[in-house]
Amino acid sequence: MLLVTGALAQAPGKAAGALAQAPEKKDQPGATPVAALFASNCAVCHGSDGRGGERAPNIATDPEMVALSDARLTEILNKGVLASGMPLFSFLGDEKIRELVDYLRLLQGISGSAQTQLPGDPVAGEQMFFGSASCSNCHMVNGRGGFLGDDLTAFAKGRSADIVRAAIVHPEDAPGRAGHPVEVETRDGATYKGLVRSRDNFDIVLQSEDGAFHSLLRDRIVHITTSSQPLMPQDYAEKLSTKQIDDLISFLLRNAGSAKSAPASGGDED
Amino acid sequence: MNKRARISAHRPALALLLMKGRRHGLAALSIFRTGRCSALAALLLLLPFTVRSQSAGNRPGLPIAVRAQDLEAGKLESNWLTYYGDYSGRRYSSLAEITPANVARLRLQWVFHVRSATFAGAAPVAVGGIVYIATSSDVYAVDGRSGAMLWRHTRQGSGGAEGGAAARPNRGIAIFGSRLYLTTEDAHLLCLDARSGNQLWEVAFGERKDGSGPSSSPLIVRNKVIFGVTVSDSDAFIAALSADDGKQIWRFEMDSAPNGATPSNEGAGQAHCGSAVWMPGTYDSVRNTIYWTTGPSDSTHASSVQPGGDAASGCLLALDAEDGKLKWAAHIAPRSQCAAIVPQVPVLVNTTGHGAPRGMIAVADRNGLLSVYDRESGKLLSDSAVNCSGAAGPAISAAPSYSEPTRLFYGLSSQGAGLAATNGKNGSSPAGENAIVAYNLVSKKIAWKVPSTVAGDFSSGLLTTSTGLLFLSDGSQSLKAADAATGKPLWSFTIGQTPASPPISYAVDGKQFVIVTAGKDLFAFALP
Repeated sequence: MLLVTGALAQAPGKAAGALAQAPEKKDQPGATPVAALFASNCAVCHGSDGRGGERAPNIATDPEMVALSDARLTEILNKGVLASGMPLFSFLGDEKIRELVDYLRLLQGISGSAQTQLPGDPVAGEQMFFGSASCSNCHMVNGRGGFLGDDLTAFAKGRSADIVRAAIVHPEDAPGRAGHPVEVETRDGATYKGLVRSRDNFDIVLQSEDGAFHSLLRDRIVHITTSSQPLMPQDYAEKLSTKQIDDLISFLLRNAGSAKSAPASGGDED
Repeated sequence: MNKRARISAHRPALALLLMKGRRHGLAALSIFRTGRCSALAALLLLLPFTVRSQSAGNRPGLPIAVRAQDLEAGKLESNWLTYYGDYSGRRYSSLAEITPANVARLRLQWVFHVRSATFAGAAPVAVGGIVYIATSSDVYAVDGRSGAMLWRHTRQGSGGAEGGAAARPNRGIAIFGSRLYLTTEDAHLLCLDARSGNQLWEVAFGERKDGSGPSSSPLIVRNKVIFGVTVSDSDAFIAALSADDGKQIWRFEMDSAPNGATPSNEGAGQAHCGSAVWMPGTYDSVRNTIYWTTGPSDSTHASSVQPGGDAASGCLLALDAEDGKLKWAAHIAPRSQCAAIVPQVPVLVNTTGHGAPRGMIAVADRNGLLSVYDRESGKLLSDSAVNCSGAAGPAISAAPSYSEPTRLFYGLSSQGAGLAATNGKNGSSPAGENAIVAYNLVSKKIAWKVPSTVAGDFSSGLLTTSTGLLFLSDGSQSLKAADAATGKPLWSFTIGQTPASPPISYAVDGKQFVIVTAGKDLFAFALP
C-alpha cells in the first residue's frame, strides 16, 4: 500500500526488513528455518517481504490483514481461500503453520506480547502530538488533526514500543501511505501539487493540501516531479529527546488500547 | 483557468517542500530548526484562508464542501447529494448530456470492484467528481471519472466480515460539509472525513438487538443528521443528531404517534403508526418539515403477519424538522387487507391538480398501493387500488422516480402487486404480471405500461433525467434506458448480475455518468 499510494522513490523490499529487525535482530528474514519455510511456500506469491506480488495481496502492511487474529490466519493457512487462489497448506502440519503465523507477525511488525508498560508519559506525549512536535499537522488521532498522513488512532495496536519508535525515527520504513509530494505539469500549462492517491499507466489522482482531488489523464501530463523528501520529517531522532519520543510512543500506545476502528487505508484494494 | 490559477497561487506549502524548504526564510514559523516542519506549519496556517477563498465548491478540483443551500437548491446539476438525489426523493437528475437521441451510444467506462461485503442496497452519493459508497463494512471514495479508489475506510463489524456486519446492508451515506455520515449495524452513527476516510467520531444511539438496527441512509437537514431504526414497534424512533458532534437534538418515539385522529385515517382507529423505519425521509425546506414513512417492524416482517394487524400498518409522518414534533400522521393503508406494508420514500412533487397548485406527496409501497397526499394537511388526495396477492412485491430498494419534463411518476410493479397498475377501484392488475408503469398523479391515469418478461425481484430502482430519459432495472441482469414519455426501450447493457441499488447520475467536467451497483461491482456508463 505504501508503495502504491505515495512512496514513489522507495526501493521495494527494503521496508519490512528494517522494521522487522527492531524487535529481535536475530530473527531477520531469511536467516532462520522459518524464513526459508516462508520463502518456499509464501514468498512466491506474496513476495519475500509479504507485501504482495502479482498473484497475491499484501499480507504484511494491509491494515485488514494485520487485524486478522492468529486463529483466523491459522484457518486460512489450513483451509486456503480457494475462491481467490490461495491454496491450503494443511500438509505442513500444525507446528509449521504456527511458525509461519509467528513469522508473518514479525513481517507485520507486531510483537507477540501485549504492551503493558508505557515507556513515558502519555499526557505529555498527547500535548506534543497536537503541539510542538506538529504530528497533528498531518496525522489524526481520535478525529483530531490533519488528513494528509495516516490516521494514527489505532496505529500502535498490537505493536511494541520499539516498533512505534522505529516508525517515528525511521518513517521511510513504516507501513502507511505517507508519501512524497509531487508536482504535475499538464499540456495546458497548469500545475498541480499534492500527494498521489491513485496512479496507473493512464491516470493519476493527486490530493492537494486543501483536500481537493485532481484526477488527471496521463496524456495530458508533460512532467511529473517527485520531491526527494517525504512529507514526514525524517529527523525526529535529532529534534526530539529520547524522553519526548518515549512520551509520544506512550500516547500512541495508550490511545491504541482504546481504539476501535481500523485505520483508513489508501491505494488499491489488492 | 481560474481554478488552476488558484491551485498554484494559494498553495505554496508543497511547492516549498518540493524546493526542500530549508533555505526559504520560514524561521519565524519555525518550530524546529529544519525547514520541513516549518513548511507544514505554513501549510496549516494557509488552510483557513484556502477555505474562505473557495467559491461555490463541489466541482472537480475543489475541496468538497456541501452546504445547506446546496442541499436545498432543488437542482442537482453535476452532483447527486443524497440517497435519492436532492431533498424531494424524485430520483431526478437535471443533467442533459445523455438524451433519448444518443443514449444508444452509452458505453461502460469503468467497473469498481470490492473484495469485502457486497453493495447490497448501497446507494452512492457523488460530489465534485468523487463517488462515495458504503458496503456493510467499508466506505469508499472513488474517482468518478476513472473509477480509481482514493481511500477506503474499514470498520470491524461486531459480527466479523462474514457475520453480522455483512448481513446488514448499508443503504447509503449522507454528506455535509466535508464529512460523511452513516449508521452501522451495531447502532452507531459514524462521522468520517470525506478527504481521507478518517473517522472523526462515532456515537451510539441505541442498544443493538438481534435482527434490528438502522439500515437507511441518514438525511441531513440544517446541521442535523436524521435517521430512523428498524427495531420492534415500541422501540422504534426517528432521531436527529448534531452533525458537529453527534449529540442528540431530538428524538421522535414511535410510541408517541397517534392512534386515530388524523386527517386521512378513515376506519383505522385501532391501528397505530408505531412501526419500524426502513427508508430515509424527504424534506420540504419551505415548510421546514420532514416526511417519513414507517413500515412493519423487523420482527413482524415475516409473511406470518396477519392481514389488517397493527404491525402491518404503514404510516406517513410529517415532523417539524426543528424539534421533531409531529405535524400530522396518515395511515398509508387505512383499509389495508394486506400483509406487511413497506412504503417507499415519500416523494415530494410540486404540480397543479385538484383545482389549485399544491405540494403533493406520493408514496408507493410493495403491496402495489400508490397514495397521494396533500403536503400541508396530510389529506389523502387519491390512491390506487391494493392488490393483496402481491405480498412478495418489489423489494423496498426498488425506488420510484418522478420526472419533471414528463410530469409522470414511475414505478415497478411485480408479481401482481400492481403499483399504480389500477386506477381507483376499477380493477386490479392480473396476478403474476410484471410491469414498468408511468402514472399521472393529477389525472390519476396510467400514461403507459410496459410489461416485463422478467419474474425476478425488482431489487433496483429508477432514475429520470431532464432530457426525458428513464433508467431502470426490470429485475434482469441489465441496466436499461427508456423514453420516459412513451416507455419505448432505447438502450440495454448486460452486467451479468441483478442491480443491487437504483442508478444515479452525476457529471465530471461536463461528462455525464450513470452508475449502478450489482454484487461487488459498481458500473459506470457514459457517452464515448
